[in-house]
Amino acid sequence: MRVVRRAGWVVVLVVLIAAWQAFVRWRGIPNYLLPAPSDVARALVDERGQLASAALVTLREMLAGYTAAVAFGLAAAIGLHLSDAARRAVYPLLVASQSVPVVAIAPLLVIYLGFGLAPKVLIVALVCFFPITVNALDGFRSVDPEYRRMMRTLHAGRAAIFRRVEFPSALPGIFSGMRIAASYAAVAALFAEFAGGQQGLAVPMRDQLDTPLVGAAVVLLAAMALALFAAVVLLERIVAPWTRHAGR
Amino acid sequence: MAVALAVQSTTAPPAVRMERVGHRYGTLETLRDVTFQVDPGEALGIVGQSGCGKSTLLSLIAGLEAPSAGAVVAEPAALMPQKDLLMPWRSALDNACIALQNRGLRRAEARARAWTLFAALGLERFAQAHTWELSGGIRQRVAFVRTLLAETPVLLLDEPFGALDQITRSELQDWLCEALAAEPRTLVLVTHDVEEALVVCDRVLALSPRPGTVVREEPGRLPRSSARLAEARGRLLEALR
Repeated sequence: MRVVRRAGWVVVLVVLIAAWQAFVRWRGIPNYLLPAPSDVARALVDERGQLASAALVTLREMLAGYTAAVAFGLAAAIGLHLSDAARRAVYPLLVASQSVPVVAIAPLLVIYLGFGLAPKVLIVALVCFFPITVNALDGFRSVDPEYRRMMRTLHAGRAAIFRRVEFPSALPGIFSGMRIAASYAAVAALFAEFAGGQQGLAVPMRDQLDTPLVGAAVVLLAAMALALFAAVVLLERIVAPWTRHAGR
Repeated sequence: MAVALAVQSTTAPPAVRMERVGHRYGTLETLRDVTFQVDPGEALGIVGQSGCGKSTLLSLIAGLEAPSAGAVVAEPAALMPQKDLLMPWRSALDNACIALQNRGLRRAEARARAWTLFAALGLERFAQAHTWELSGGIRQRVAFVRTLLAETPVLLLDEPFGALDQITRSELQDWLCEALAAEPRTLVLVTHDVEEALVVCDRVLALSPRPGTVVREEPGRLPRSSARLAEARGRLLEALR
């Protein structure tokens, strides 16, 4: 029963794909308007060489940018948490920075940094940085103040309180931000490639009339995003197993 | 009106001394003219209604807050809050030895010392347990051992058994008396439960409603269900009204 409950999404997915296939075939919709799932699957097989090398490029951009965002986002959150002055000075600017559309500055980054890997990694990192930083900071700030009071009477200095209480307490928040960022990373990498690049999954997507190939690239991109998300969930289960028992 | 309390003279200086202590949170006066002392090794109970400043008294003794008036002189004290605050990312044993690690002991050494106390207090089979596997009563015992392992002369217990059912409370009160006999410390126990204070503590003070001030003192360590306990309980409750 548990397996059936957990696999419910598979059933929904299969039903949706079947409905899509039936709709396209029944209505005789031309391929260039809406490819049938079978056409997308055929493109995945026929163009596997081109798609695989493109997906590897996108995956590399995605992982490099995401890793940088996690490292810098966590460092920023820790800095802002430990320094009231830094939080007051930087946090409002950090929030305001989210109103600057990455779409607008991406071409500039390409001009500054060229058509290589660097601007793509930077764009992914910029997109992923904010949810990681804000969620980690919220995690640090949501620690029950009673912990700090108690720890002060148990000989703990500021560093010990952070290391033994605040950081582990904030892990659910940190992983929450990492999960949100994981879902953004693939799209951010694709967007970066559209802004300026000759490699990656954006290349097969540029030929909008070859809709089965576009569909195949989208499937690969979604699979990469899901895989990164699942990896973060798995990491959370290993690093913070108690979060599954919260509230017991 | 505040009652100035004479304490039996001993050669050792008191572990805690409060001299005409007052405290305010902004315009809210929480404590007024509180005077008492606790001798080394003595267990003092403080009872009073919610909001009368009992927990504030513990914060003052622990040095977490400063008095607005008067003087607080206290030996180093460790606080056990009402919530057990066990950390789910640590096992029961690792929770207990956190103060030792805070003082710079290596984890293995801290665990070894905590294990000795776990064994002495009958908790060894829970040592490796996750905190979410423990019952409320065991969690409070682990939290108490954590406070003991701070190795401070004074222990401050802030309604430690407040969230437990009556049977578990009684068990823990007896266990606490045994633990204190094995590991003698100066104790200040804040509780809503007048009977608990009279059973566990050597002396019990009643604190008036806010601003809290000492309005009555009763001797403690009274047997449960005794006539003396019932009389002392009646007098304290009368003073608290």
